[in-house]
Amino acid sequence: MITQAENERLTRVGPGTPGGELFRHYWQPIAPKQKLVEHGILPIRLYGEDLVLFSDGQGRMGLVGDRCAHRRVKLECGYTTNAGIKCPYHGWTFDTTGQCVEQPGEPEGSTFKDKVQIPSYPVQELAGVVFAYLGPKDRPVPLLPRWDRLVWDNCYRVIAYAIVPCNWLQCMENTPDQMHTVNLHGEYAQQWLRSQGVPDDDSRMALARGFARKVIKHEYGPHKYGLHRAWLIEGQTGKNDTWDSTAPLVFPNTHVTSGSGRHDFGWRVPIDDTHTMQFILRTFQPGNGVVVPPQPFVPYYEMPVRDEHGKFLTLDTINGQDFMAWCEQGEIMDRSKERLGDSDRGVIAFRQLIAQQLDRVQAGHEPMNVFHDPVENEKIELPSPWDRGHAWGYDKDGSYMRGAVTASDRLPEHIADEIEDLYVEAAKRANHLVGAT
Amino acid sequence: MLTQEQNDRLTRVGPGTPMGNLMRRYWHPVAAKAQLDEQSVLPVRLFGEDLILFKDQQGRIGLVGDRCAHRQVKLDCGYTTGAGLRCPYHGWTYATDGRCVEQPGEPEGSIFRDKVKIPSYPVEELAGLIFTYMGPLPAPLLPRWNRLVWDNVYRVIGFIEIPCNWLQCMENTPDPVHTEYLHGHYFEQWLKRNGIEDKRSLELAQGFKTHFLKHEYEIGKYGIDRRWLLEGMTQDKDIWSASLPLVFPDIHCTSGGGRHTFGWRMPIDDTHTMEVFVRGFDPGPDVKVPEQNPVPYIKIPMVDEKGGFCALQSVTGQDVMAWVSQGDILDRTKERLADTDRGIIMYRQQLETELRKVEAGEDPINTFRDPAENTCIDLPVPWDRGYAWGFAKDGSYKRGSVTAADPLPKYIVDEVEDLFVEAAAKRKQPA
Repeated sequence: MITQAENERLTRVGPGTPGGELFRHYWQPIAPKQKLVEHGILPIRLYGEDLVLFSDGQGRMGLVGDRCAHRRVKLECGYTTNAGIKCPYHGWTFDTTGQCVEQPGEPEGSTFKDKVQIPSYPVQELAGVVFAYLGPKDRPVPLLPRWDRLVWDNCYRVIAYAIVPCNWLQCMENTPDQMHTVNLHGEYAQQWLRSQGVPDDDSRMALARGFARKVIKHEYGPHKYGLHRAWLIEGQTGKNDTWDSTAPLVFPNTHVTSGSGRHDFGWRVPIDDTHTMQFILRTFQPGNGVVVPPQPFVPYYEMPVRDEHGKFLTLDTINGQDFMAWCEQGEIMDRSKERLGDSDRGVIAFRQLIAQQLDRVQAGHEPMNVFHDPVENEKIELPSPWDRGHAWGYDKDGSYMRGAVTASDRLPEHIADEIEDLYVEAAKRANHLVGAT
Repeated sequence: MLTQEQNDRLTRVGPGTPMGNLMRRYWHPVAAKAQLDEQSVLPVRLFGEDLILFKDQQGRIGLVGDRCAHRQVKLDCGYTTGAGLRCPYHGWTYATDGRCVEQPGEPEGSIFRDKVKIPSYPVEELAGLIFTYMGPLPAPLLPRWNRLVWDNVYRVIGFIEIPCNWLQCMENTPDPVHTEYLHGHYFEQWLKRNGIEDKRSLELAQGFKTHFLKHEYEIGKYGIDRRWLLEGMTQDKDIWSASLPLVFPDIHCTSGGGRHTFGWRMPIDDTHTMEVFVRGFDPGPDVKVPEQNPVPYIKIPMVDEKGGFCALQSVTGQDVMAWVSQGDILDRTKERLADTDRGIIMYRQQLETELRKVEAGEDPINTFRDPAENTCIDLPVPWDRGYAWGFAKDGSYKRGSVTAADPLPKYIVDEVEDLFVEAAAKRKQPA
């Protein structure tokens, strides 16, 4: 339980708030690159600020304020030219730095355009994801962190995102809270699937049974990149699994899971105080010498959350079960009324870490995970356990049950097929390498 | 750029506001006559006031407050009788002047009804529209602008509900330069981007792309006179010489190629506007336009339930996108006005001038009280907007041109196009 004032400090992200200032030290994902390629212009909302992302006729990306400086028309209604993004109303054009470069209705020789700018922020692409940095102009822009999952080669990547109508922190508090998985993704998921008539041999049911296995112990503590998490599931040995090599919560808002060659690297990006974009880069690494064909682009899909009547649409997926829990905590969870138990040790540690980093920023220092050294940033390694206690789809004889690794993802069918083919092949090869990872 | 205070003064129209008082000095169209023929009780909202327009069983039209004086039931749930508009709850009935004329549940001989009245406003009909006046009495004359009283014209009435403040819609008018970009360049690339190969639309967009060589504004007799010269136009026979006014306070008119639009951007409330237009198709004197009774009307959705713009293939749909995307009430403390905005600045100054007249108790501009002056108020009629729609050099007419920008029902398009084809054929015959 925390006071209302503490809750505000931890949750609010608008311009000028402590949380907003903290987030403005970090690069955050704003869109799949392929979506930008398809649309040319995308409206973006980040930390309560409305922006527009565009790719001009020369392929240069820009992230600028959402309105034309002239008569305040929304630029998402416009179109792009070689020079930049053009307002539909009078053709004023802004380049990727927000500088007005064309005012075609003004008299010849007018220099008024040189005096007109709209806000702009740097963007970069990595792993098919467009990232933005919303820090103030007078601060040196840090490096876009090259976390290992973003720079590995020989893997198959897919971007999944969802717009979740609640505050970012309750989404993120899910991560240092291992015990929820046993109930929400295990017990609850099984009963829900059963209520929908899903048979026991369905891969989603198998996944839920795996999650329902008992957690013997779970611990949390400080970590170089955020918050250390470890848990031991019944049947695990504590070697190369979630007890000895699980990935940390990466500060401030990244959730990392790994198991059986499937890696989720996901951000809970604050759109504003009451909306969060869950943005997940799913990386499939079949291993065993399987060569993954190069991807011409990283495909993406949107995970629906609720329909217009408020009904949850993806309760048969892990993400969808989480969405339900977070939304049902309220727009901004009222932490002045909660009752924390022993299982919430990680949640408390995370809040302490945020408070500490907020203090650092308010004292004028940079928070953790801000990188300026290119050598350090070549590839930032995080642990990758093979076994999460319920090694997806691998039978005791090492054979692979097709459909297992993508069971919870509701991927477009052709993508799921391509991924499953890779895992089937890997398992065939593994039959000669039993015991190896 | 304005201060927040100036912006509020110019945009807000609720009862008692300065702009609300100015707007209430003018007759405004609240419905098409044809709507009342279909449905005798119509809810109407104007300047933030909820009203009911009705036609009683004797054909008398009234505009009254939206609630029964008795228990405040909404009168749009009621029905009409020979006596007036009847509340469904206890049968209280109101005449067109708002007087309660029946209270059937009251004791016989009761005179209570004589003490009960709901608000009412005068109404008049012209060009197929029902107009009302909500200002202080005596009411001025309903202005007989030429486009409303011409004969031998095929008229269509249109209604477009726009979810934003009226002023940003109206500021479109003293800003003709936007047409080159919004209806020209933007429209052309929109057609390309969406793979639409409609020839008439493309010609329309390319016509609008014609470059503005100059544009000028001055305070005129009826509002802001606007003049512009497009590349290829001659100075003596077009909008440069004839001008085309913004008719104060909220009327927009365009003419060209025999198509005349006369339309109001009427404040429903501070954040909603009803564009009401009378589009007159004028094929010329050689063709007899059949009598219209009633004048047909259309309601054109341009913003869908999700806020998407669903009429971008039409010129007005493009305007609506620009206006709505400026915000509920455009924040003029943040705009950056430029040389092209000279007309907008002049219009704001004129609004301020007229606001002060009303505050001083005077009649504002366009208040007509002399019937002799009001038989037919002549506004200029330029023929050529620089891209005379659909007329080839040999005088022949390309079918589909004059209605290319209008989302109209097919039967109306066919009737209008037939008239223009006939007119062109007659012109080609030797005199």
